[in-house]
Order: sequence, then structure tokens, then C-alpha cells
Amino acid sequence: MYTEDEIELVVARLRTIPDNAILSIGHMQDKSQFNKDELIEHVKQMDDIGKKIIDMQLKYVRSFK
Amino acid sequence: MFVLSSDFMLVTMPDHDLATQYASTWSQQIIDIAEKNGIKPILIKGKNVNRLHVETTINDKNPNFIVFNGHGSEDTIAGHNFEPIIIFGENHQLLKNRIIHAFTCGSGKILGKNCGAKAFIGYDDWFFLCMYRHSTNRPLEDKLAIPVMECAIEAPKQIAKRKTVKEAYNKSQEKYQKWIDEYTLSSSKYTTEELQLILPCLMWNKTCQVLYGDNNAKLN
Repeated sequence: MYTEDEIELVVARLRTIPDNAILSIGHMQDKSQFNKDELIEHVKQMDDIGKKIIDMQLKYVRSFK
Repeated sequence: MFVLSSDFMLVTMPDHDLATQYASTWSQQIIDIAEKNGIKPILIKGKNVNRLHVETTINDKNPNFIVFNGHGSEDTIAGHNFEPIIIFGENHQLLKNRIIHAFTCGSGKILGKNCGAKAFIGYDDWFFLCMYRHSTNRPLEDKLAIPVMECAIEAPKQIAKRKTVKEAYNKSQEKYQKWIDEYTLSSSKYTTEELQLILPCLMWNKTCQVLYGDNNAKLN
């Protein structure tokens, strides 16, 4: 679904966000807020949360094409 | 044009996590505007945002405009502690012939599209909200959250100003684009690191915002 380059790009972008930033997701889940390290971990694991974060970041990056 | 008499506006305000705390706190701006425009707000807060209380309030007060704050999914709007309060196929008829703003993830996709609301503004995919850990006790002053929240609440603010839902949706979309353009094209008070998070959130949320129903619906 995603290339290795795309995943690396998203991880690289997430590494640059502020350390004390939190991303909250309005979806119904046991956990709804994630710090920078957790976001990166979800992306690496390619679970549902990670995939959605990849989609979000790639939508933005692709808007410049 | 379908015009609704506008005695009551119902606002659900759960606060069991940061996302609901932020949405509920920011909703005070909608409430203030509604009151200035002669609309009586009915607030359901905290633990009271449960299915029984919400259903009873809708049936008793018959609000023409409902603002749901909380989590959600394609067919569900949740209340306190993720309790489903509106479920497609179970009690979605409660939304029929009302103007609905659902500040929840995904509920626009199935519920919003098919619930029979006079008009429904919401999101058909996940909604992302960014925030600063050190600002979570002051949601209105959270530098990361301000752009996202301002765009999101623009639509219900416009409805409370008695604008049509189409005008409300357009104003919200314009606000998203204004923030995106401003941050992308010029220097701002935000750092590059902050924008790496804010801009993708804004663009994603803008794309996922949907409007269904009668575009000309408004509160009378």
C-alpha cells in the first residue's frame, strides 16, 4: 500500500514536530491522543492509526505536486 | 428554502479526554453567538452525555439545531467515555428534520448522509487535532490547537448567526484554506516544526468536512 520511501518520509516529518506536541484523534478508540514517539511507532507498525497518519501526511505532501 | 423556527440549540459537551475537553471548551463561542441571536442553548455536560439523557432531551425539547462534540465512527456519535449516543439503524431518526453539526470523527460517512437530518455538517473520516502538552489546561490559548479549532467551529458559529448551512460550510472551508495559505505562503508566528504538524491536520480536516441535506436550511 505504501512504499518504503513514503513511510520513511512520514517518519522523518514526524521526527521534526515539537517534542511536547500531542495529536488527538476523534475516532472511537481506547486511546485517542498520541505523543511524537507514539505516532512514529504507529507508523512503523503500520496499524490503523499509523496508516491514517501516513495518509494525512502524504495528502499534504502531495498537495505540492 | 427550508427554514426552521429556532427556539432551542442542543450542545453535547463531554470532557473525558483532551479532544472532548477542547471541543467542549471551544463550543462556548458557539453558545455565546446563539444567545446573542435569540437561540436558547441546552447544554448536556460531562457524564450526562449519555444515550438516555440525550434521547430524552431531544424528545422533550425538540431542538432545531444540535451540536455534537465527541468521538465517533462512520455510523455512530459518541458521548461521555465513548458511549454511543446516536447510532445509525437504532436511533438516528432523532436527527430527522434538524440541523446537525457533528464535531466527531467519521460520522458524516454513513450516519450524516443517511440520517434524514434537514442538514448535516460533519466529517467523513478521522478528525485530527494537534495540541501542546503544556497548554492542555488552557485549550483556548493552545497555539497548536487554535488554527484547527477556529476552522472547525466556524460552521456552527455561522449557523448560530442564522446563516444557511451552505454559507456556514463555505465559511468554514474558506477559513481552512485561509490558514493553509497563510502558513504555507508567508512567514508566520509558527515554527517550521509546528507547521509540520498543523498544516497536514488542516488540509486533512478540510478535505473530510462534508455537508448533506438542504443547502438552504437555516434557523429562523
